[in-house]
Amino acid sequence: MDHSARGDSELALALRGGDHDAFEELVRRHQGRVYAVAYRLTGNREDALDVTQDAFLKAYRKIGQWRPIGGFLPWLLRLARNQAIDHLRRRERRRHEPLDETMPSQGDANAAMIAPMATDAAVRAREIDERVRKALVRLSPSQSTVFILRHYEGLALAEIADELGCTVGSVKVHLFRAIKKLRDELEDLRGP
Amino acid sequence: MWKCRQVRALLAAAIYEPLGEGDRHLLDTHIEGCARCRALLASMRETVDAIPREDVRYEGDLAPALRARIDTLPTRSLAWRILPYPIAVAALAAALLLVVGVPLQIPKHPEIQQTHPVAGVSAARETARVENGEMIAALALDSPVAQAVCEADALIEKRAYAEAMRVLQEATTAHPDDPAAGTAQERLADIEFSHLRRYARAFDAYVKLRNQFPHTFRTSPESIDRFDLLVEGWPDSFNPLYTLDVARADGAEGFRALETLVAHHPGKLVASLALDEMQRVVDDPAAEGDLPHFAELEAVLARCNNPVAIAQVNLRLGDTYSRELRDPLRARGAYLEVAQSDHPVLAPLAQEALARLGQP
Repeated sequence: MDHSARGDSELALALRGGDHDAFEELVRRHQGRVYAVAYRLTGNREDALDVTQDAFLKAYRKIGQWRPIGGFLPWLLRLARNQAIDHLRRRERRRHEPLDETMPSQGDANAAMIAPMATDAAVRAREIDERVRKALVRLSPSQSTVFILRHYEGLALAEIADELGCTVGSVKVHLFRAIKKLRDELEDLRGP
Repeated sequence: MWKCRQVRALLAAAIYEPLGEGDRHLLDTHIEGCARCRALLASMRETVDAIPREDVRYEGDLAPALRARIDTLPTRSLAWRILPYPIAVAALAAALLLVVGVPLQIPKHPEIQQTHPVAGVSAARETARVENGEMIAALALDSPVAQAVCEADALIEKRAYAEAMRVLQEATTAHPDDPAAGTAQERLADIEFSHLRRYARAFDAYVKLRNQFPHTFRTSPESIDRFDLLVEGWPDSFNPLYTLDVARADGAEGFRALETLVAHHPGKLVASLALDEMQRVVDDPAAEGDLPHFAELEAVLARCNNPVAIAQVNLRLGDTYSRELRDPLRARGAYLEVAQSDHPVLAPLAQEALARLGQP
């Protein structure tokens, strides 16, 4: 059966019924979107890829808990966001483990290699990236998802509403709250 | 003139997209007479401009890698129903071969690997192996217990738990060495724990799963968590778990009971679950969205009266400040509150956390 013409909810219901091709279609359709959200929250491509795979696996295993009324993509993005936050927690825990004290963490090692070559602008850009990433983690799931889709992915507000299965008005409200919180968090990054 | 609250949504939209004529007029009219919204729009625009837009795309295809990972998942209800299509094809081929009289048997030992001309059949067989005396099979479509598990899953969906248990028990009694016996035992334990909430029986079922089907147990994080929780609750005849159930059922009214549970079982798993529930209670679904964890915990803290419960909330709050917000200052404050409490269980945990944070 050609799955490309079927809607997300139809595919998710087919997956529930045991149609593995439907799962693959959902993966191919949304992997870019999930990866983008994961990347903005984790800050590097390797972690983002891990988080993306874990989110899809979780969706596969938990598809019985999905309810058609909420749409598939918002549910999937919520799983991805939770996976990303768990990933960050584990990463943080690893940094605290005693064994790590004897050797630099991967992040430290990378920083040590990059540091001598980095220009002030590059250092500043990295600092901003890190600050934005932390601020995004603190937003609510809806706010961070809407902001990521609009700001980084360049989706129109109407497209976001369509993908998340909500109204354009509610997308605007989420976006407003997201930017306002980011403004408060990143106050010192704004111009003089 | 519109109120400030009414134009807020337009402010964010105006930063990214040209507004329609009506909205543009409303916003312009409002901003002209409202210095506060004018300043807000300018500062929001500056924030957005300061956040770089690095283009990050994933161009690959995750489907094959995911398919491979799904093939290695422990057998669960969905895994039985949703088989990757190459395996389904192989299974169909195996069934056909059985019909035409070619005997197929899952090898009893890993070293006995037969190959078969039908593509996929040998691969399907390779998933069967013996580990610590337990036959492991990721695929055993023709197994009677596997079929019983499918039947039981359908009954569980219909909440026919007693019938599901009967099907599983009959199948495992008749076929104790069936490769899917571990999965059947996991289902039995799950029914007792999460559906019937008969914790003493669930404890026995998970002990049996752990002892007789160690692979199934080890590869099921959910079973391990539940087993640990039941071991913890066993000395108290599982009463803390029953109290937790009652408090959960009470929704927002159960907050005090949850607080008492947290206070009576400091540092225990059940206290952690009760604290999770308290966070859910304060996270008002009618609010603008899910509260961040730290905000939930701050709301829980504001409602708690018991000093031991407060100390545990502070411990978690410290972890959240530290790990999620990367805010060592606030984390230190939360941990210090607990460290100074002299509580025999919680104070040492807070001191450890402070030591991890390092010097201010």
